[in-house]
Amino acid sequence: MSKIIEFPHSPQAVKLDARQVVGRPIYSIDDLCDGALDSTVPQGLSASHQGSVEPPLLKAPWQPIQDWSNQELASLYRAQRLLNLTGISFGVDRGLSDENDPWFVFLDEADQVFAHFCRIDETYYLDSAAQSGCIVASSLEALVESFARRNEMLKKSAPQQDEPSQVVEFNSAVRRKVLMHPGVSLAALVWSAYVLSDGLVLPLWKQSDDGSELDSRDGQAQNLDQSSLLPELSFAAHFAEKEQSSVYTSDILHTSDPREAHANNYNAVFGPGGAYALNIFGFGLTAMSVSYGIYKWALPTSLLAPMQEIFQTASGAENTDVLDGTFGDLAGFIQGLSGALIVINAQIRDTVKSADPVSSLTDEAQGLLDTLKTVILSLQETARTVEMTEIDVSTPLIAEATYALIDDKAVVEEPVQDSDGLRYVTLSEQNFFHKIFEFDTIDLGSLSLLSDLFPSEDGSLTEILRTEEQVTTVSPSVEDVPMGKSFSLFDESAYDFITYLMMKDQDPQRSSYNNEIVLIDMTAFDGSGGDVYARSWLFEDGSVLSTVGLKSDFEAFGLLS
Amino acid sequence: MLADIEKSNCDSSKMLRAELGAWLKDLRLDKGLSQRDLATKLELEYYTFISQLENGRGRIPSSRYLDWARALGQDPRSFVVRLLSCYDPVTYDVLYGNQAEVSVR
Repeated sequence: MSKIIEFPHSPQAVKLDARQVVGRPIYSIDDLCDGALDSTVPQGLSASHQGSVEPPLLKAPWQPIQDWSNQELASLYRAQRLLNLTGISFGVDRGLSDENDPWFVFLDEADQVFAHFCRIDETYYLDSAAQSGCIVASSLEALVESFARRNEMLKKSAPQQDEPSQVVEFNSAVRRKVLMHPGVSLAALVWSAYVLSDGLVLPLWKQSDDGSELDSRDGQAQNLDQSSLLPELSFAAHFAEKEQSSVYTSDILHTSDPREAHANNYNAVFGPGGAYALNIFGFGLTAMSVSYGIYKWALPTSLLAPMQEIFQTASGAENTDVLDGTFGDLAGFIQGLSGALIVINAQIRDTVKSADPVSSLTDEAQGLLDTLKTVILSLQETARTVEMTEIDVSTPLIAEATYALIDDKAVVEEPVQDSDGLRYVTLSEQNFFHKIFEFDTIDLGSLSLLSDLFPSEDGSLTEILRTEEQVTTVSPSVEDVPMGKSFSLFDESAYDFITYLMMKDQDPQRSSYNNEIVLIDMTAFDGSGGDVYARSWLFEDGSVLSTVGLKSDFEAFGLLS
Repeated sequence: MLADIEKSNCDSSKMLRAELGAWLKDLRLDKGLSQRDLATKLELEYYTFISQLENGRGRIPSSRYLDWARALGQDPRSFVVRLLSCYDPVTYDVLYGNQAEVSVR
């Protein structure tokens, strides 16, 4: 049985249908790739998340697909979850118009709508209280760029004298190289809309005409609602209190091992009960916004000192002074954060190795990791923007941290720089992001992890992996494909099961590897128990669809081997 | 549009908003308008805002009260009083009390 599949990326939603040819239905992988994922739930279909399955009622005519796709909803809800990590309670609501065009709104703590996303006639709109008009784009992700581009245009057209006198443009959208999950970019966008719409007009820094950087710490922050960003500012006091209460003993705090020291510092600052366990996420979202060019980095006077304390603690540097406009020891800070990142990565890896469910990685831990990574990358970009040539853009610690999670044996790629000296994110680093951001996209390599964690009794998953290793890049016709014992032709029962799977899990994980598509029902890994099972089907063109889910689901559809 | 919406100092009642949304929907349907039709009359940039309001989310910007009243064929004063009763029930009660509620509903 072949592992080869052609997965054309149809730009249009495709109905999942079965065409009767020569007595039996022929299914198209293209249908499954797009149409199935975007499908609405047919009436009469219900499913339990506990593993029991009702027979699918899929014979009804398929409804036109107009609601948000699962991926879009996943991004929007992920954005909400990231936003809520800031400690501010953001609500959401969604609906369909009378023409079935979808909309999605973000609500502030007062239950007021401050951002409205919608899709009308294949065009995506964003309106927010921070805008005077709609942002229009061809996708949710493109809205981020449109917002950034609009900001750039507004900035250029705005009278210079009206701007705060001290602004440093850390980045611009056109120079952005950091790739993020769509949900993260949306979170950054919505966060910016919220901050900008709520009167949180931060003072900006800007280079003066002679190139020198002007100091902004002269009281430009009167509009800042500090409590919403950093409500607990006295890091030093908190740290001292912990130390006195023997939560952290001095010998632990002052270890000679840099990594241990970073770990201690991390726990004190960002860990449970840490002074900035809550607020760092707002900081991180701001950093993300900066990295996307949709926000200008700025900190008010009152925040400089506590942030300085964080930086100094994280970096271990005595003279860290990254916010005074001179970026005295930004390199040290980046190194420090990188160290913290390594520690967190190691913790996650240990967790995985201890065979705990992936779901045991809390949102907080993942969010923190996301944030730290983003902060580091943003600061690196910042350093480049302000021509901090002493920063090593290929900071070894970051590279080490990146690959620690992926593979001990991974070969570290040499960072690539363009003619401007900007460093592109390497493929492995992109993979790192993919894995960090809740396994949103999983290649088959990741299945080895899942296989280790959730060994299936009959070895189906292992077989998939083994077969994957043997796959070639040539797509043979079905006649050429050796029919493995676990692979059968995609038939009506498989069609019913896949369709059921799509509707059971509103956020199914889909990944493509070479020419194969893998669908993973993440509810099988939500900690509710139940054996995990995997199965693959072959299509007429030799392509393969593999699924991973609850064994009970497969059993309900009579799909156990 | 959203930028025009004034910040409310009082707690908004979801139930009131939902009731108001249903009322707005009834008015629109009575006029034989689709959501897109109404949005066109109001020169809105995106018509899903109508759906959002009818689902009890958000509010009509005060600067557009009269436009909405006209588009829905309503007496402006009665229309605005009805909006006020949901958007700012405290103010509404102070100004109109129960009698006004009876008269406009």
